[in-house]
Amino acid sequence: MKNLSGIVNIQKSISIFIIVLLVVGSIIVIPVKASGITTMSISGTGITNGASATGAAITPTITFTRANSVAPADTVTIVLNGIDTATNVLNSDITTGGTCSGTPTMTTITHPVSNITLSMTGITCSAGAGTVTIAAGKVVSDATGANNSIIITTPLDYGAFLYYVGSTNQVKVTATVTPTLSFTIRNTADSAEQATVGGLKTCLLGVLTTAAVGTCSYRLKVSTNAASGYAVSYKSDTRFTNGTYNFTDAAIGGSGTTITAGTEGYGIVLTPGASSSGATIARDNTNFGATAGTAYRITQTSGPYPVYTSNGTNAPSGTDTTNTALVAHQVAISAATPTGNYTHTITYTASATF
Amino acid sequence: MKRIFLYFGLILGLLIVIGFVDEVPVKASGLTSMSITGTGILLNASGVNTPITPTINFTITNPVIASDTIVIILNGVNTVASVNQTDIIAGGTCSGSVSMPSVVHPSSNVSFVITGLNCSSGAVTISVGASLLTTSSSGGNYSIDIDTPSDTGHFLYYIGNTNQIRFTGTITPTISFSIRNADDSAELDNVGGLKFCEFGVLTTTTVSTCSYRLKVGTNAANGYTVSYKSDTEFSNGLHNFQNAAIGGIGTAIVAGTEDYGAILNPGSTTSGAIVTRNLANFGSNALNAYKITGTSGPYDIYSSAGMNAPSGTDTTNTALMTHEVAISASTPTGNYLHTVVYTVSAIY
Repeated sequence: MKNLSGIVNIQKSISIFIIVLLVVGSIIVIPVKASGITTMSISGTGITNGASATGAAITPTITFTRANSVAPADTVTIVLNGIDTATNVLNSDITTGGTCSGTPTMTTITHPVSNITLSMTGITCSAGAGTVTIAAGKVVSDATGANNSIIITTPLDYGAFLYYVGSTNQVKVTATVTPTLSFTIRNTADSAEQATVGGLKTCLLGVLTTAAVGTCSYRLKVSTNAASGYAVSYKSDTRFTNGTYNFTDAAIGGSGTTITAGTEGYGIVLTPGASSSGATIARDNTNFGATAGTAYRITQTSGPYPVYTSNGTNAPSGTDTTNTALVAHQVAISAATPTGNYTHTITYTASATF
Repeated sequence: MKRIFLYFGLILGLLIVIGFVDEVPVKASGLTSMSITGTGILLNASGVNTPITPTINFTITNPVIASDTIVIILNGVNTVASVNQTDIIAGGTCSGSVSMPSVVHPSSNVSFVITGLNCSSGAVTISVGASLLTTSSSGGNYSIDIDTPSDTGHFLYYIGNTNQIRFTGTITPTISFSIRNADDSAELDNVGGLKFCEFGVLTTTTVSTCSYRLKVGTNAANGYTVSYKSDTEFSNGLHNFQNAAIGGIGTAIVAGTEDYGAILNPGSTTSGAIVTRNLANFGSNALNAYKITGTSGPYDIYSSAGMNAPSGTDTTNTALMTHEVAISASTPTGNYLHTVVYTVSAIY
């Protein structure tokens, strides 16, 4: 019976022990006090917006905001990937600021070391933003560009952020817009090329009379993506002539000439139009004055003579009587104007300023 | 001789029977359901130097009569004033008046020797009045011993944290960022270390594109945010490209109409954390382009609410940025460029 009683007691003891273990186990508390560091950054000489050129001398200040305090016995570790020694880094090269104070105790980092680690004790920090600064002349950014992580740990706080060395966090986007320039002489409605004879565009004034002003017209159509625009010029092969007699020309510049029936005169009325880009179109005042409704001389032979210019791009499309220039030739004869077939050929040139 | 053997046998049998009978009455038994509760006590545990108003709970198997002595030893409990019998209150299955020698202050590991109670089998409580006891200034796993004439038991009363274990482990915070090609098979091409995204020669008949991936890896529990800042507009030095919209529904870039922007596909995360495009800058349309030439930033592009650990070639847990550009016939000629600087910040 004693043996039975002993066995019962052993069983009870085991039961109590198990209960105690369960109670102890349930009471064990795992204090998860650790928290993330916020507002981490690196700044200082040689560092802009958390970035540095490769191989640059830097005087880094690491700023980190903690929820928990740090005692002198605690170890604060800062892994500075992408930062190398320029010379030995001693205790005395490290200073603290913000909510941190005290002179760190740290094993000297003997040059050369890449991706240095500051493993420090002796710092006292209250919660909030603390700083750790390495003195000038001690470290440089790595010679190889990279997006480097800087890792900060204290007994209860931790965090990491990126320190960009070189340009590995950048993308250069490039594109080429090929320069374009086109020029055509179109009919007045801009519905087709100006009519040609033997490939040469023609503007027929027909049979002239003293009772009417003869006219013919066409459009100058320039398209270009030249940012600074373009200029249209002309040069005539001869005056408006029958080979022996040259027509009386309208004025050059100024207010031009109003061609009237019965009075010999020849010239063009220029309507330079607009540009699709909204750029300003300017008639050449020297040659084509300032008056929109009068005629100007179009028979100068020494040119080229500027007709009008645009200070921006132009992209007329389809039938476009807005962004094209209208050239209307006008001619009148007097009773004294010699008979004959009068001609001259105008050569237009367009040049863009890219 | 036979009688001698008979008497001897009877005597031997009697001795055996007496022996058995002597062993049979095993009255002592273990107390059950023992605990200490009350003000300053939680789960049989208290802080050090803590005022307590303890109630000792235990269940007895055998009854107690008034002449029986109940002894309760509270190791780890000290007096702050003398404890008299009037300070002791019995409850549960007990009745009667407590009779006890005073525990004179100061006294450590106090013992109460109580008589005068009649208790039937069942749950008993013995309470001590307020402002009389405090826990020890030394943490320990102290035993509380309870004895009645027929029952006995012990349990532990934990003062301080000597029954606790702090488990610690360190997982170093990590963060990485790279700009990869669209397949995430390699870093994006670079010239002199600067990654580039080339549209080539633009025409009015097509929308040109170039793309790459933003690859962020971090174990930050609260995720990360990717932002950008441009050095200039998309410019040839004279003309700045027309930009796609900021936020909203963005811009559908079409051939023949000058426009430039980026289509964002923010992808997902390996942790399943939600990835959210920044509505203010990159709106809500996954197919349209948004302005990517802001120069005053950084401007947030997208955020993850949790960790991400893309590995190898991963076109799922990386963000795809597709730049789109179109020109009109009026778009000035030139070599257009700008540089986008990306930054990543994690939230631990």
